[in-house]
Amino acid sequence: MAPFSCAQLDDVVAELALDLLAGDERAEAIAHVEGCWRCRRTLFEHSAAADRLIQLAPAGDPSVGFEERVLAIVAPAAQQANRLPRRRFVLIAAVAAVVALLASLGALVAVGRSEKAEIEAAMLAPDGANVGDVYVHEGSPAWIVVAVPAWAQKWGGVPYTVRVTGRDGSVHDSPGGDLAAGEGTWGTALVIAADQVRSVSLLGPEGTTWCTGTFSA
Amino acid sequence: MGDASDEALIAGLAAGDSDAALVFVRRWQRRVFGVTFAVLGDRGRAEDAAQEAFVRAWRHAAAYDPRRASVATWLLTMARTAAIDVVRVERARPFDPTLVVEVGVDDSIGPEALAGRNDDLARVALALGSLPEEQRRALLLATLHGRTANEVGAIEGIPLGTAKTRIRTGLNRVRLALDVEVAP
Repeated sequence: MAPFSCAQLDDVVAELALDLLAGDERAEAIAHVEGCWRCRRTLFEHSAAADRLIQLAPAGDPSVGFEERVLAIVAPAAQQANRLPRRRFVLIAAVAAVVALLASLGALVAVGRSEKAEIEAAMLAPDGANVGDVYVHEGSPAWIVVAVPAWAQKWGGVPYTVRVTGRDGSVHDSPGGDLAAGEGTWGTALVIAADQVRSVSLLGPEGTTWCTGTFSA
Repeated sequence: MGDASDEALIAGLAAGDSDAALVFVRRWQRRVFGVTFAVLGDRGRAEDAAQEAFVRAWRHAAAYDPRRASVATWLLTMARTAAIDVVRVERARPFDPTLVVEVGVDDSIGPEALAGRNDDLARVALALGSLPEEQRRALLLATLHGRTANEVGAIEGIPLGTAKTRIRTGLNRVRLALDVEVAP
């Protein structure tokens, strides 16, 4: 059997991007794409177009009770996993709002330990400027929220890494969300306990440190 | 909490936070249902598929990478896949060809809302609107209704090759309208 060619891929790339191919034709097309940079790029571009077309679908109202049915599957299971207390997420919006308010008033959030099983630290740029705060919430898993609202526009759309450094020197990197979309806030779960976090840094695409919050022992 | 970003909600979902799940479902259920309904054209099955999409989102939330896809792309693609999975089980179901005529652009991204906008969705919507009617129908049948080229041919009463060409040409024109380089 002749190998699948770039011209053949061009014929089916739209259907492949739309996940409409099946059987041998799909398998051969995927095998070709895996070994052909040009066709892989073409496929990604068509897939990007297809993804956006899907977003044009008109929104619609599901019937009453849909939300409860979904949550009956997702939320109880989540609670069963005993991962986070219910109040946890309320803190995210509250944190962002408080930080934004304090920032607007020119006040700084003091570094220290609160009574709500959360610790916070000022996020300092390399020049020492206070650019926001990082909050570590105790729990299993622990959870952090980084709040640098003043940077929502400055770094919006720019990829960055959230680096958590443990007290044992371990380094845990995870991609941060778009600061513009989150209005300068981003939250993610941790793989280490809250009291084991020594510092949290935001790193730019080149690996440069934007800011760091350091927790006292 | 209602103001939390989608990315933060997904982080909460991954961490097992039920409040995050509630906000996330409330925020996205209309659009997720809209996609599954577009594919399936039946409220009951569309709700089942939408529910499956949210369950998949919950299961895969920890693996969500905002650098690879926006939340809308990630979730709505998942919704379409869940609906198409249903289609594949029910290949022989009938299809109302008039349905596709009305499908295309959400009111919130219709011509008036598009005025002055220059983002990806606006460009895609405009490109879609500029396609010849037969190309637009073929592309919408394949995209929003999950129909294969064979099925598009049967629905439109055209040869398979013509259906493939219409889908391919239509999607390519939308791709060109985007004019963005997508890194592999």
